[in-house]
Amino acid sequence: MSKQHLLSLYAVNKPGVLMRIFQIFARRGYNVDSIVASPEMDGKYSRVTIAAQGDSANVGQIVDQLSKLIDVVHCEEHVGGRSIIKEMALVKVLLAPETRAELLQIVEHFKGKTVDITPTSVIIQVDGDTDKIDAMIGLLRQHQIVELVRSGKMLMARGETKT
Amino acid sequence: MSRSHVLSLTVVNKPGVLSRLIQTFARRGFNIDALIVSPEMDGKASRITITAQGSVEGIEQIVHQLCKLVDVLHCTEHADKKSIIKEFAMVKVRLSPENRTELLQFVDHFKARTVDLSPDSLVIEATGKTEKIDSLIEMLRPHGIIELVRSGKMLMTRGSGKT
Repeated sequence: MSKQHLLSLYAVNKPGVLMRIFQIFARRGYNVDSIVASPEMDGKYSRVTIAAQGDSANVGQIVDQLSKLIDVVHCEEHVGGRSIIKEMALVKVLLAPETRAELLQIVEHFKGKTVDITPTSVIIQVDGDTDKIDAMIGLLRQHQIVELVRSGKMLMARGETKT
Repeated sequence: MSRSHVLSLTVVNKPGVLSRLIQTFARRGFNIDALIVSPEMDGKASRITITAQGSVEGIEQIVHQLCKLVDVLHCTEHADKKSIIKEFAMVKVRLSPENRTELLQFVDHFKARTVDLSPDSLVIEATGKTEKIDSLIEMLRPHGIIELVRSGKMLMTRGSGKT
């Protein structure tokens, strides 16, 4: 069965490592929906969160193969439960004097923030669950979205344990 | 001179495209600091924001090479100030009764939010410019950071034009 899987990795931050990680997904025909990669505190390691679509039967194999890579320190699949999953998005929407009030109400309702306003457009910043962001984008769609950047899912275990 | 560059790309959303992109960087020995990938509105294309360290000439060549890839629809480097760059981070910090007030003051000051609170740990969610997040992390460091996820830079040009 094909569904979305969420993996979190801890890898050495050097050229070529990301490429080797993606090849494992590509070789098995997994499409990577979103990736968030950024350096950890000291810059020597990267934290990578990958959301990928593919056959559930293979996901264990992918995790095993990723773990085998020398530069991957740690790799784990996250299945529900005790973790916080958040996303951030920037949305640019066309603005007309008639729609301004409505747009700003939507922004307020979703606890978003406007980071840029011009007479004809507005950029909205919003963070939260994937569902919340999807819902907001659904509402904004009626107002002509010019463009959209999403961060992809980011994940952290609750409590004091490490992810 | 080596400095940090931000590239924004629109690519076809299918398996293997990412690994080809990353190869272009790896082949030239460029290290990718941060990478964000997420589907565009209709799911057929992906929007990618890459932060990489390197010489100006090297990056120019990489932009040309990326543009040549069949699945890359659009690729630009952003050097000017006319764009909004934001980042999102979650930080897990060790908590004790003595430092709780101080930590919550930091959270307040940086307009961040607490998303998880346990007797001995705290997960903080913050959004803003890279420098702001850097300084929040600097402030939290003495209290013992357990882990850290950052989204990497997300970029959108100001006004109603497309990025």
